[in-house]
Amino acid sequence: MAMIPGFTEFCADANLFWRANTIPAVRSDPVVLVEAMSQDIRVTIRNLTVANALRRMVPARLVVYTGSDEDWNDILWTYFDKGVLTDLARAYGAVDVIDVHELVDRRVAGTGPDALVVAGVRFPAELPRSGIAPDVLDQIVSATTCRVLRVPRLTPQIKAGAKYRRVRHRSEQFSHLYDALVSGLRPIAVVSSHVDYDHWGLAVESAQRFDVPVVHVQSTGGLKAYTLFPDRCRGAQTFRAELTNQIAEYFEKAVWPNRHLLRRNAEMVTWRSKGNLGRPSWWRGGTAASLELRTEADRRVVRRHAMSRFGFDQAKPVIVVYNHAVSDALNTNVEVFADLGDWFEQTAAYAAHRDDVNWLLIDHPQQALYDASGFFDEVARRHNAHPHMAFRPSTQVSKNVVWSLVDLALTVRGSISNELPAYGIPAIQAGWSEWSSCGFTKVARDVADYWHLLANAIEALLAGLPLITDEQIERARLWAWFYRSGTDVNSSLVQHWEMGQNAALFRALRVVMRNVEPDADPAFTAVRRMWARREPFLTRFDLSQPGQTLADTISVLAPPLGAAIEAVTA
Amino acid sequence: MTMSSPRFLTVFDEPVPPLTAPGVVASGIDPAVQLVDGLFRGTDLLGRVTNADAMIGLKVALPAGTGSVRVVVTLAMDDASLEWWDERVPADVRPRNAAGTRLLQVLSQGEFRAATLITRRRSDHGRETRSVVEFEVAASEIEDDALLVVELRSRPEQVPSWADRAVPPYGAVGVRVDAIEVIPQTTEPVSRTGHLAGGHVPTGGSGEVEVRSGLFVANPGQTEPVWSVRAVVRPPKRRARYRRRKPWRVRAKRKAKRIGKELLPAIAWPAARRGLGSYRGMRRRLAGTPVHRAADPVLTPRLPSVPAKPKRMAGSLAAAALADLVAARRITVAGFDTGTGAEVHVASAYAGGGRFHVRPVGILPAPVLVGIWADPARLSVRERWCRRWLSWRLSHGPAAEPLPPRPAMYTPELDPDDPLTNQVVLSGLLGGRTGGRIRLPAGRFPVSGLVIGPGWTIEGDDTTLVQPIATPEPMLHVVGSDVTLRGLRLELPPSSPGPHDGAHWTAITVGRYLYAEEPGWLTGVRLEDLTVRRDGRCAANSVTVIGAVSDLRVRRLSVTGGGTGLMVHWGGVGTSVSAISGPTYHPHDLAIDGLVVRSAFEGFCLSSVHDVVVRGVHCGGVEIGFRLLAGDNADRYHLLGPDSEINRRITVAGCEIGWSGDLYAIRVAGWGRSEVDGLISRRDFEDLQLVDCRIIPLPVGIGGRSSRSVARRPLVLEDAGEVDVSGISLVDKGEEISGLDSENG
Repeated sequence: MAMIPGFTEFCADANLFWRANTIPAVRSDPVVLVEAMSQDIRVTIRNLTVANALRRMVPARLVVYTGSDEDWNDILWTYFDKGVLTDLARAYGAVDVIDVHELVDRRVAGTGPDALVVAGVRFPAELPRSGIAPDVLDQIVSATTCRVLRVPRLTPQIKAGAKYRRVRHRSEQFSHLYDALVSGLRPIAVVSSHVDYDHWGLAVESAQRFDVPVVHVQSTGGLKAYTLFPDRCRGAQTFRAELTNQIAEYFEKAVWPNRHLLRRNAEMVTWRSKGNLGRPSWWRGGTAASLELRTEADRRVVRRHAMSRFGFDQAKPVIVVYNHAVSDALNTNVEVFADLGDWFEQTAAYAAHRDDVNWLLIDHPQQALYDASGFFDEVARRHNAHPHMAFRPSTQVSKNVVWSLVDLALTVRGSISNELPAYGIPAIQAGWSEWSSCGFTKVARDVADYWHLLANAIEALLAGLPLITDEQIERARLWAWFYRSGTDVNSSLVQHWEMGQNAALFRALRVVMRNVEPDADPAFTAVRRMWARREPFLTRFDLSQPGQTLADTISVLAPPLGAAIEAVTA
Repeated sequence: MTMSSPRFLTVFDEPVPPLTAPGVVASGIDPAVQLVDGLFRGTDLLGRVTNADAMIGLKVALPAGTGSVRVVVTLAMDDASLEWWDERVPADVRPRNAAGTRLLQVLSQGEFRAATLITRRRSDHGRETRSVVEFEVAASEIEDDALLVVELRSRPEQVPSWADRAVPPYGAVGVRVDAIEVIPQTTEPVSRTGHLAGGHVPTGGSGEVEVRSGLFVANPGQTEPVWSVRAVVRPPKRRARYRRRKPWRVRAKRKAKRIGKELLPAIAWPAARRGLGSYRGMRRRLAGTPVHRAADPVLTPRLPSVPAKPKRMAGSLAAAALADLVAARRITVAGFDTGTGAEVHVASAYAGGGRFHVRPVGILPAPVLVGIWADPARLSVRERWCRRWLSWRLSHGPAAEPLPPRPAMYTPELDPDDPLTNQVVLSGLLGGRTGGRIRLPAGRFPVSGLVIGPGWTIEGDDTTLVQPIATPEPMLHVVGSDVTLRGLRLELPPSSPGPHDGAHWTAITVGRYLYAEEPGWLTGVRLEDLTVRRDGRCAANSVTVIGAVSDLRVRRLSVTGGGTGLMVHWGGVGTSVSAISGPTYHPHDLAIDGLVVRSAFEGFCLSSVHDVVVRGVHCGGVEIGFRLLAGDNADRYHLLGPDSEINRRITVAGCEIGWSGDLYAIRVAGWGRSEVDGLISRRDFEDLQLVDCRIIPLPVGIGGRSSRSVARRPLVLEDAGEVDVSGISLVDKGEEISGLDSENG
């Protein structure tokens, strides 16, 4: 990474700022383990900010683990720079910055180091074996191998290959190392931008086994983070599955009952989302991603064109199947099918003999980063004789055209299953996602249930029956608000993601650190609220406030809301 | 239709201010441009297409009483169009030819409206190349509160190979949509048919469309279209200088600007209507004010046509070379359906003076893209060099001539005994006037050697014409177009013609075998309800269609006796069969419906022809059912040589042959031996359809000759190419014969 102008000065200011804004820690204090393994400096700034917000409450030393390997340099990173990340970590007060990749590589190569010392704790050259369950390790090795090879699933040949052996070997070493670090340092929290794959996921896995809270900071928006506190967990099979349950519980407890107060805010997010405003950082921009349909009549006329473009029968409903990035974090949440590719292939095969509806199958816009096997084209070739099926890359179809067609959407965990229901279009999920238990999609329990849900939905479409209720639309809009606003903390200490990583970002951060008194910065109050109440995420404000106070907080006092507040407070 | 009911509106959505018709939208940030797909909105133009297909949804408000809306879409290409194509068309799309001709189909309210072309030339560098599409939409097609949608689609994926590179896929990508004008009408929509697009507007002052790169699109009209294509020599001009690629700073700035625009959300566009100025300027220019460019040879009215004969034109070698090329008709014309990419057969006829008449075979159901080119492989070095200066001008061909006032009706009185009187009476009528209608009286009259010029209809009323003694001259010789012979019975004595006498000793001959110089084509001849009877079997043909004849219809012709019932044969320029100098002419576009031949040598024969449909043939006691032949010289003397259409698209459907011959019932021979030099030419049959042809073998009866063959073969195929014989069946009622096999000799 070329050094961005202003970085050195920013580090100096940050160092001064955080020394004043954290509780001084001594050698006997615990540590916070913070991940710095993304090339994007915005990710690490977020991780470190959350960690330091914790260090305002709990005296703790900051230990940062970093590094990269050839696989990730190959498939994803283009400018990973350990030096920059190390400087940043030191500026934010890190007492130690360790390169876990290098440690693992040396142990794999048998050139193991002498004893490792981290934050004053000495670890032996020969680390004890990790206590990870073999099936959990297998799952992480498989998901990582699929990702680095960019394939939808492992074949026997791949499992017999050098890449798989290398990933397995390294994963074992990662697990040994993380187990040692977590057990040896007893951190108050592990802060990580990712919870999947070997180098990120195994740290989270170790932390969970040793009952250490894990803060999963998001790479989007302002400051967004999910946290799993060990005492709140009820044994779901993965980190994300546990989160799904806790999010749903919170949603039912704190969001849905406040729907009358939040309705206008939810409406605002829904409206802005049509113009693609406030979108998550990984969503596509541009005019092709705007929704400009307004009325049923608009949709009818555009639909006629779209139907003819795809060669569909105008009289039949359309089901749209949204293919996933096929090697993306496989099985890190509940999936009904064996893998994402399996779901897509089986759904396409089902579609082939259901010619009473039209099927539009859309590929993921970033698929090139996740698939090198030509998976989508291969499935498309299998079914190219069917005129009721059309396969298209997402980049070749605009949202206006697809949304003029879609009468039902199918996905495993795609955000389309939040987006469409917010506008009254039903979705079926073949797996869990953050919102899948919030009640606005149909979620299959297993494969048989998926086919059952699908068959029933097709019957309803053919009979002209509605598949989504007003309540579900409202729930979807509320989730959109909750995701984009309620759990997105607008702190000037991280700046919004869309500021980019450039001199302007450093200037803005320096202005804040030098000129703005830090009292009640939203990052601090939100982290404190989450930590103190052991809530599963950061919130922009306290959703448990009584109605009038909540209304004051979100500044809505339009006349109909008076009654709404009473309804809530009564 | 079953569909869910989405709920797109929120409390924050405000009404979209519509475009009040009449009005123009010439900027993508005009709020009336409510919706786009595959289009990047512009500020000084409506937008630029980013995908293979693009859509624009306009919110329009129509005044009360609007019956229909005329929509005028202005499209353009500029230098950026090429860059956009290179950048945005997926890398695996082939062929990659951003500078090729862009074929665009225009749809509105779900219906196809028109197709057009944009062909950019190097000389257009620095300015735009425009195309304007107009169509009308019924007001009822625009729902209240809905959108007027205009969609642009690129060419179909599969097109004929000759067009694949010239008309690249994803043709819409990079094309500018400059403006859409909406003009309400109080009337029902008028279908604007027959529009021709040559790749660029304006069309110049002559009313002709400039055909760029030899490609034009013709939209279907109400009648069977004919297009007139005139070859012109575009004088060599100074080469346009290529502009160097913009420096990276400029490119980066443009890109940044583009990205910046992407960030501007649709819902936040201001109501500004910029860009109208440039659009109005363009409309003014289109309206006729001359384009201010010095002496643009492309647009100057009436470039001289290529001279009919090679000669030096004021220092222009090119003209001389190209004149030869055009006059010799070494030009190929082909077409495809712009909607499906399927080949559309297009016929061309040289009309002299460097002008071709081009027309689709059959009616035009959808727009057709027509290509005109000279195959470089068949050109001399000089022609290849000069080819770049050959250009075409397109206009609608001669409209079907309005029906003349009902022609004069003549009812001559004929003498039942005196052939000379009848000859004088009828020749007097036929010779002195330019067409008319002759109704012959009932009865039996001796007549011989009538020559029938253009425009005549001769009808009988239970009339029998008898040839008293056999003569080489045809009994009725049709030498003019638009002649109808109807309801006549013709009786002839046996005759003994020599070899190559197929056009002589006949009852009716249409056309000629040998011409002294290049003839005009004889068209529009109709032979209906005719009976020919010749006493006994002889070598003379009964009806011969020969030489430069096209668009001929035969209905219900019954022949008894004689040689071949209906002979259709090529003709050519030359003094004798062994001294053909060429070119040769090959009858085509013939329809024969209902032919009965009894006790004759042969049912019918097609020799070196194309585009022929023969239906409903009954032959009884014929030695040969029919022959399909390539002709003595096949395509050797045809102007287009191997590119000619000879032996293509021939259909024989429904043919029953009572076969009494000793050789074969059907022969298909794709070769011929020249009488000029003895060389053998070959020419495969293409798209030959033999449907429901039944051969009923009868006992051999060959007029007293001794049998020439020990084995009768129902079908003989000789060097005919791939021929599907599954439509031929043998109905065995008689003696044992050999199987239905074929020999290839």
